[in-house]
Amino acid sequence: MKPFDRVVAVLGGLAVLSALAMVVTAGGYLQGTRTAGNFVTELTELALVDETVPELSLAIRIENDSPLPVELEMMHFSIYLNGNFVASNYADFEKMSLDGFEEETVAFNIRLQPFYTRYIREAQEGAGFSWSIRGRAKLILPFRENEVWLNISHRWVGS
Amino acid sequence: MIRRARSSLIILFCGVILSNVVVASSDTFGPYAPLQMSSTWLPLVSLGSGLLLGFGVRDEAAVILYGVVLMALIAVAGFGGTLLAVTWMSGSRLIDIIFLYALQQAFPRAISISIFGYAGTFAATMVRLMSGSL
Repeated sequence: MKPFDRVVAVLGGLAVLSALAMVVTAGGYLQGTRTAGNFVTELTELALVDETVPELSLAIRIENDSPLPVELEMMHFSIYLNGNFVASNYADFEKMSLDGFEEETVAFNIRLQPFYTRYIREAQEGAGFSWSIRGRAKLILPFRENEVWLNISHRWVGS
Repeated sequence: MIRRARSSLIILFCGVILSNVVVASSDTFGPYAPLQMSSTWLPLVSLGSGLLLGFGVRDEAAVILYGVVLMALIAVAGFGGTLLAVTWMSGSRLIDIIFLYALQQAFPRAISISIFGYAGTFAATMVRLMSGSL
């Protein structure tokens, strides 16, 4: 084999490896984005614990609805009552592991600041309780700890 | 004829290798690549491909000149093809993906490949001229 042919052969081998690497990359990308897309957060409970010293008790179910194991690093969200901001919360989960198709329910107790209790009174006086939660969660995928931010948005009617 | 075929193979293989480097060094696909590369790899591999092309092609200056452009086109087409494949398979909106990534990632990388590829072929051609092999 001439030296030049050897160069072409080596390049050909590298080209085949490169093509395979691109297929693997595309597959990983699809798996990662589908895992993030199928990640479920669901508000399962929201209640005022004590109406004299208002504290919100809420639970969020998180579910990894994919075969890929992931880690939930943190979640932060704001809570609104009838469109008015009443509280916010930041939760550091320290990379809570969730295996494939595993689910967890995390509970939060959030004390309301006195300034915002007026919105509770307004709701009790007839406006009704229409809660909404908006925030984000940071998910770590098992691809070089690639971070994905998920939006959280839930509504809850009733006290 | 054989020379032209070899030249075409070098261009094609370098283009596919560069395509993988473009994919592996991109913000979108990089974390999912078996071997993630930093963006500095692209100029280096482009330069290396240009050198190989310059030394590999015997006496067809036109092939060398067009070869760099073809290498860049194959590389960008590989990146675009990967993007189109995952877009189609994930059911995302095609127009958003193309607009966002074609402008942000593919075009600057094609320019980078061309510039460093030409630098490589120029260097190789100069060496061959000075050594009398061209």
